[in-house]
Amino acid sequence: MVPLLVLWLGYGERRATGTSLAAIVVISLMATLLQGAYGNVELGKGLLVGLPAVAGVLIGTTIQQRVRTETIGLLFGLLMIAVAVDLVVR
Amino acid sequence: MIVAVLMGLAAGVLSGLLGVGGGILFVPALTLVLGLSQIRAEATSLLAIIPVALVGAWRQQRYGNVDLRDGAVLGALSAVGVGAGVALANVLPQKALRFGFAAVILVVAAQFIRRWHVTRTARLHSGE
Repeated sequence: MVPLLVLWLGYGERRATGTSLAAIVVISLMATLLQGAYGNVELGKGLLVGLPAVAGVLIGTTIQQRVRTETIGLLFGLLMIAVAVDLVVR
Repeated sequence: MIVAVLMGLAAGVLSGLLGVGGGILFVPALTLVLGLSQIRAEATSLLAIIPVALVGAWRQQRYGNVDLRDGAVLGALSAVGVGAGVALANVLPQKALRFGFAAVILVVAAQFIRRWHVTRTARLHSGE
């Protein structure tokens, strides 16, 4: 989502990450309902990791406002490399 | 259990910082620490992402960093994309999919790092 917004639609990094989160709200809601219908969603364990993550996202968004735009892009690039490595070695 | 909570916290920080859902940490927390199968972990990770994305988007909205219309359009388009993705995943072999996707995101990563380098060089030259 973020690469699409930054590299093709010319968004700045901060606005791209914010808008990406808004889109993810829609996607995760629909996908959860679908997976829930198959009985694959475990509410308790989801909340166990999800609730601390809400505290984390408050920290993350606050830090982000104090970081240079270009640094956000660099960190995003590094995250992509980590995901690629994970996909290949899995 | 503390490890799972800490991984959840870290997933949230990553989400807020980089605008991702956090599944990259939720899924291993759910499989490796909480013992869920891959499928159940991925499904449960989606549930965990909802409040994170909601709170993150709300905060970014207050900072003036959200284009709600584009976000809604992208979200809806992605829902269609999921259908296409599932169809594709059923046709192509798993390994080809993983390696193909890894190649695509490496190209994307290179572009982000190049942007960082160009912007940084320009800033240093302007003497800021």
